Amino acid sequence: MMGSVEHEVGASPREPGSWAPTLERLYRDEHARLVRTARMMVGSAAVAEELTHDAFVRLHGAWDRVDHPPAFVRTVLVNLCRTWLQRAERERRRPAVDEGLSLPPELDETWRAVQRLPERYRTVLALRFYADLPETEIAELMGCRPGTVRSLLHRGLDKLRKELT
Amino acid sequence: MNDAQLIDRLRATYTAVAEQTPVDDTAPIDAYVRVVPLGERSRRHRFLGAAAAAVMVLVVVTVMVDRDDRPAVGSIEALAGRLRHAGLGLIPEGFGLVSIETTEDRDELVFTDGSRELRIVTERRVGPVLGDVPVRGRLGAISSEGDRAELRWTEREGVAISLVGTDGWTEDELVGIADTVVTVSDEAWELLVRRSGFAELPMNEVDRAVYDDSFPAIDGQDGGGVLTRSTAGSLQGGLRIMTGCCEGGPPVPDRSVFFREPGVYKVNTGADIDRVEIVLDDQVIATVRPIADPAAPSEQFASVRIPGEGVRGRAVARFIAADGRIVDTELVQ
Repeated sequence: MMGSVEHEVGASPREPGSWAPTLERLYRDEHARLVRTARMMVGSAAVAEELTHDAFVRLHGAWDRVDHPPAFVRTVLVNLCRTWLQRAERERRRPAVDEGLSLPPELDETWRAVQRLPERYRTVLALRFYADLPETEIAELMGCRPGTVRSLLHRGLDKLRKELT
Repeated sequence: MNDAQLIDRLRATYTAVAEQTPVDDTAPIDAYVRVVPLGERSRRHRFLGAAAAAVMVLVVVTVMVDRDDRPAVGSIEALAGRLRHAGLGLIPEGFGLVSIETTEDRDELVFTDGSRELRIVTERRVGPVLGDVPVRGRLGAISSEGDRAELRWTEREGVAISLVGTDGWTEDELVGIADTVVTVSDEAWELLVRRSGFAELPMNEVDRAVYDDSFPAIDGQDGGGVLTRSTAGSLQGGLRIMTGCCEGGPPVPDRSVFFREPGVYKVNTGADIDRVEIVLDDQVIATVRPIADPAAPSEQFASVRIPGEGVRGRAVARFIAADGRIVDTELVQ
């Protein structure tokens, strides 16, 4: 009869009182924040949740080979969101952006304007102004140089301003 | 509006949207629960659907036309609504189906061999499964208590499935059985539960089309193409995914990708493939254009070396036709 109390994923030992490197723990700690970050990129809460789950599934498969699981799952999620957005743009497909949202008019207008931005600007704005990531970290996530991130931020804000006017 | 004002407004918008993005992370995680991956056979079932699509294009068209009232293929709604019932693909040796209970929200099948019992419970609701471990996708939560073992997971379609074994099931056995679970539509289920589960889904192509399911390629909502999956068999004898080869249709090309050495993949595509995308664990995508191999003129081979950093342990290869349709997928270990 099985009675395993195995709780850890992977081979990392768990020291008493230390941060336990388990998938469950990471999921509990990071899941909500990642879903919300993904939503700021893709617009749809349902899609964001799906993509976040996909990212965790991929993390699980790669657990033994990943040095820093939180960074891995975040990188995978950003890549999944970007891929999803690029495909949506190619197919001229836009998810519903108002699913269950009730925003003041000014914020609603801003949210809709953000959804009209090209993928790279949506990504960089969400990572900078929602996730509060520094430009260097955004550059790592997006596979570009920090200077490119600065440029994207500058142009993204310009485009957003034009959309709002 | 200057940059500072615009950024303030953007931050306020993000904050308001975040506050209205409910994420249920409050469910406690049981100490005895362990998360296990469900195996690749589940994926294979999906992948076999891709092969079926190659030989059933006309059926796809017919089905899609007949199903105008459905959500668009590729939408979350389409994923959530269709495959809402679960049966076993492989019935454990010596086991028989002795009970079927089905209501609007729940199905329960009970199998026994006289000494051990196995239940498969399907709960139709979208959201965190059973309030215990809010994992989704092909991760399952396995737990054991006394002589009872349970493996539970939530299918992408929003269907929570539990496999409950009593009197001596091992974790590996449950995971193995979970890999054979086949989900079916309401129409198929209505037929399958007749005659105490002995009723079989039709084998001929015309009748079977009613029970076929179309869904987006590559597991989801990224709109990569449309696959059609046909199911056959019965709840008593086991359900199986049909492929073109089993129906006497044209043979499905033998497509494959080999992981030869770190970063190098060898691709055998078949003639109808325009390109192959290799999607790595970290979502880096490499595109391969096949080339004819003089040594094997009936096949097309190409090798690709993936540069750069990232995890390179496993990849999914998408075989894509000239019209952009994903014809097949292959998991590369």
